[in-house]
Amino acid sequence: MNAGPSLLLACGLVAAGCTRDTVHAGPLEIRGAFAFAPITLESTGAYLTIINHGTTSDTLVSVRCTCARAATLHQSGPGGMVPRASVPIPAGDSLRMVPGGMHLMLTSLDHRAKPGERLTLVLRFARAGDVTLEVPVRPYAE
Amino acid sequence: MGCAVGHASAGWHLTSLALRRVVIPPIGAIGLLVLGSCRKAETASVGLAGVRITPAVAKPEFTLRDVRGRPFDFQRETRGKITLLFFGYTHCPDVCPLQMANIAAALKRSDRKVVRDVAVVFVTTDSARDSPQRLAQWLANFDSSFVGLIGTEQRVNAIQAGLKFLPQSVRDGAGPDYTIAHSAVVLAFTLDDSAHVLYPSGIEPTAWARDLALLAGTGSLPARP
Repeated sequence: MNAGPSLLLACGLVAAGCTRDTVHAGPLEIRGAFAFAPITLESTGAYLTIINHGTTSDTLVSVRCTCARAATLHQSGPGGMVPRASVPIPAGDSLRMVPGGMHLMLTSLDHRAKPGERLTLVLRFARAGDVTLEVPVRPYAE
Repeated sequence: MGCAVGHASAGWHLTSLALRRVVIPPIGAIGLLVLGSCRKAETASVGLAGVRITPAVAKPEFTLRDVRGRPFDFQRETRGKITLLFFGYTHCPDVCPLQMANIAAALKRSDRKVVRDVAVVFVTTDSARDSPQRLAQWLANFDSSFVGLIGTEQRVNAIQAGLKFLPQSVRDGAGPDYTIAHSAVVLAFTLDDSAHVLYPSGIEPTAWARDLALLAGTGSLPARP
């Protein structure tokens, strides 16, 4: 099941029928993705919500961004930022990333993306395969 | 003895975290501030977006170098100002820029008097990578009036320990891309040299601006309405 890229392509071709910021990949729905406009080239944070509408669990195993040397999942918490190798999204459950909580840390950026730009993220799921997202960049505060 | 129990889960209580007018901060953000004593945190019931802490945290006494290399006596230099104190580092992708950006945006929409009465002090927890120049440049992205302070890891940890912050700057990972555990909250010291309120990340600029006006207007915790 590798519906992600084809669906994204469909969205690109039929823009009117698709909300650009919600992407479906099989039973997974990915929405609300955004990245902060980086202050430095070292790092920035990206956030999204994954909803598993299916009846089987899936796992987010890795993330890539053409904009960064590395994209790692972190959980901010009492012990600081804890890297997470992979995150399961049980059937009927969701994973919500928020500033100050679970987030994607993009490091060694190729440029300082400005608000309004979009970054290409590729999420790799154990079952749903690769899902490509065009993530809007927004300022840390407005 | 609720207070003595479980430093892991904080000897510190969050009661009624009903921050109605702000984004509800992730618990992790607040959990990063662990106060060792029997301290209580609750939604400021005095019309503030910040989180009330009782008993208040006394303004710490310390001197560190600012980004121009001059000694900065925290108590003396911030006397008479509402002082926002934060510990973080410039490689931080999430909480640190978010806090600084929200405060800067709040000050941009504040009266001149409020701006004059507020000092923002950012102490780096990463003196290995945060050179004075780098820290100055980073802070200038938000507001060039923000004060950046640098000290040895040991010294900065001692200050955080004095504030009952845990963890102290704990490095995670080897190589150049390590991250650092640090407190995610901003402490707001008022003119009575005490912090009665803290701010988890995620407080929006409008809420910050309202709080700063209230704190600057009264010089302390506003009276209950």
